[in-house]
This record gives sequence, C-alpha cells and structure tokens, in this order.
Amino acid sequence: MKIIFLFITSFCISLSLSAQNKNISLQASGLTCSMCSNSINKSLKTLPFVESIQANIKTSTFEISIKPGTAADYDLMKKKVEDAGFSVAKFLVTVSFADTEVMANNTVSFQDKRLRFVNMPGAKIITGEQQVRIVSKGFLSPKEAKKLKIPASATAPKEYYATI
Amino acid sequence: MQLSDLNILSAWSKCLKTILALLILLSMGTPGFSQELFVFTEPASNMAAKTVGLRLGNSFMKELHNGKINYHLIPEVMIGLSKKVMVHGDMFLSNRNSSMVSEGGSLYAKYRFYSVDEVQKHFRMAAYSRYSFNNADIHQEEINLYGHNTGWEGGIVATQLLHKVALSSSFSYLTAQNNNKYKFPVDAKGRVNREAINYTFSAGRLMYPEEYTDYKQTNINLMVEVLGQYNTGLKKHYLDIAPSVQFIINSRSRIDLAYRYQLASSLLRTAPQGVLIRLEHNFFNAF
Repeated sequence: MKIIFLFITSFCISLSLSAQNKNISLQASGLTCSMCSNSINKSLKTLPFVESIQANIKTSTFEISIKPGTAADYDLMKKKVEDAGFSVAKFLVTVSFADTEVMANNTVSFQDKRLRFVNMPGAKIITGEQQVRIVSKGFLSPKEAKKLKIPASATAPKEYYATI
Repeated sequence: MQLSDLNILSAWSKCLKTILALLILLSMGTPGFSQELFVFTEPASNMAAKTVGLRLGNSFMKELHNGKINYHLIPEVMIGLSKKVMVHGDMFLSNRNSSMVSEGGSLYAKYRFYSVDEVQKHFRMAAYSRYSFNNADIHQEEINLYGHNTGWEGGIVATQLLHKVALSSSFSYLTAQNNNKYKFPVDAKGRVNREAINYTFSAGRLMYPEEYTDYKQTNINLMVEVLGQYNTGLKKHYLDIAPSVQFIINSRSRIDLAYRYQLASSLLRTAPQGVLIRLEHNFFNAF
C-alpha cells in the first residue's frame, strides 16, 4: 500500500523541463598519469554530442560542453571512461530549472532522461541553472554510494538517481 | 646452506634496504601522481580499449666472458582489445651469434580481473600469460622468454597506486622447451631444469612536472625494479635490480632508459647486465 502511495505521489510531482543540460563535469578515478588522462580525453571526444572538453589533469576532471540541440548519453560517457580502464568518481550535470520543487523521491524529466532525487534533506525550490550530481551505480565509487545511502535497486532505462 | 644461497640472502638484504630507502624517498617530496608504466614488468592495469601501441626495444647486453656487446632489437605491437584484455606481439632480433638475425617472437595476453578505483588511487590484479618461440642456440641456465628461450609463462600481478607511489609485484611460473633443433640442456645429474618461478617488485614515481597543466608537458618518471628467478629443478636463483628513467612526451609517446644490474646469481647467465633503450608511441581510438 505504502509503495503504491509513493508511486502515485511520485507521479503527481513528476515534472518536465524543456531546458537542456549544456555542461557536464566528470571526474575519473584510478588514474596514474597524463597518458591515462589523455586516453579518457580522446575517448570522450569521439562522442557525437560532445562539443569540447576542458581537461584538468591534476584533478582528473573533464569539463564537457554538450552540442546545442543534442542530448548527452550519460551511460555512453560512463562506458568510455570504463573502456579506457578507469571509473567515474563524480558526474555533475548543469540543468536549468524553472521554479521547480525538488525533494527526495520526486522526479524531474528533461530531454530523454528522468532524474529521481535521493538523499535530499528537505524540499528545495530551484530556479535557474543548478548542478545536479548523478549518483546511479557506476557514476560514483561504491564506497561513496554506500556512504550517501543510494538505493541499491535499479532504475528504469534513462532514469538516474540524482542529488543536489 | 650453500654459498650461492648466502649470496642470494645478502643480495636480498641489500635489495630490501634499497627498497626501504626508496620508499622513504618516494613518500617525501612534492605531491604528484605516481607512475606504474614500468619498464621490465607490466602493471595490473591495461592500456585503454581500442588503443594500439608500438614499441621498439633496444637492449645492449655485455657478455660476461669476453665483454662483447650483444644488441637485441625487439619490435612490439600492443593492442587494448577491451577494458579488461590486452595483447602484445613481439619479434626478437639479435646479433649475438654474428650478424643481425630474427631469432623468434612471442605473444602475451593480460586479463585484469580485479579493480578498485578511488580518485588518484587504485588497486588492481591481473593474470597474464606469454608464449615465446626462439630458434637461437641455448647458452645459459637462466630461462628468458623475452628473446632467448621457447616456452610459456603464466602469472599474477598486483598493482597498488597510492597518492604518490605506484607499487607492483608479480609472480609467475615458466617452463622452457627446446629451441627448435637446439635441445634444452639437462645438467650432468639429469635434473629437470626447465621450470622456474619469476618474481618481481617495482616502484615508480613522477618527478616532473610538479603540477600537471596540460597534455603537452613532458613527464619524467623514476623507477626501480627488482627481478628474480628461481629455477625449481636446479634450485638456483638470480636477482637483478633495474633502475630506469622514463620520459612521456605529449601524453602519448614514451622513452625508457634503463640499466639492468645483476645483484647475485647462482644460475649460469652469459650476458645479464646491460642497457635498455625503448621507444613507444600510442594511437588512441585506433579501431
């Protein structure tokens, strides 16, 4: 009964945004050298929706600009990092919100994706650009996922656990 | 205890002191990334999937009995097949017997089966195997599948990357076969001497730049590797130490300069010491 109630509630407060996400900040883990960093950089650059990448080798962080009018494929980006032999430690997407109330377990849809918010201390009304952290499995270290108490259950395709 | 065992023990104690001093040295100094692109061993990490690397190894090894320098030329192709599997193919050319001739080749594969990544840290384990063939005469008790013997090797490697230091260790079993028409020699007592265990310990550190700002900066790494072999039939060992300096250019090419020095050996070896100069270039997203 509780689950059905939650399900209905989450549907009622599911919101749609027309905005795009223009930037993604991706931090990789397990790196040793600039050659390793370069292999991730070159691999991410092959993605058709990536416009440009600003790499910070020191922190293993890649600031990725997404081509206007295209939708970034988060799973493919994660795969590129993993194929280079490394892992994603942090995945931050910049999303435009318009007076949106964000709280635990409600969802926000934009483009082809849906964000299911978790680990939120309370409700928050957000206006304008906001960095949202994707915390689905593989988008942060297993150790941190445990610490942040991210649900172990899988989400639907193109749905991601997110937090602010 | 035999004299040779005592030699090995004293060599090991020297070696452990060197490693300890090195670890202290490595843990001091400026923060940076440590390096695990070792010269004489492979780390548990693989190259990126769809990357192709070309290597040209040049070894100049000094014959113990006459001081002649043997030149070994080893072209190598490396392919990252997936995030977990990579393969190498090598050719062995040398002028040890007269003019420069092709003596054999080898195939090497590595499978990374365990990986825990944290920012600027990782622990990884991989299993590897090598098959080598060689047509040259067999001239020593040491089993060397990198340009001297026909045979195969299977082993496990573990690599720990800490904030500033990369440490790696491997254990492998190897067995030598006949080099085509040249039979693998059996000693006077007829002992089985074609089986051995190789063990390695490697440490590396980035010395320059102190801070990375872009991919065009040349990186300079210092490394030291300890390489040992124990022949289970002969019950004889060798123990080498190999310091090296490495330059990484444009984050895709590599120059390794190394010197391999024999600390102790009870195994018959003809030219254990010498210089290695290796060039490498990587093509990312090659296929």
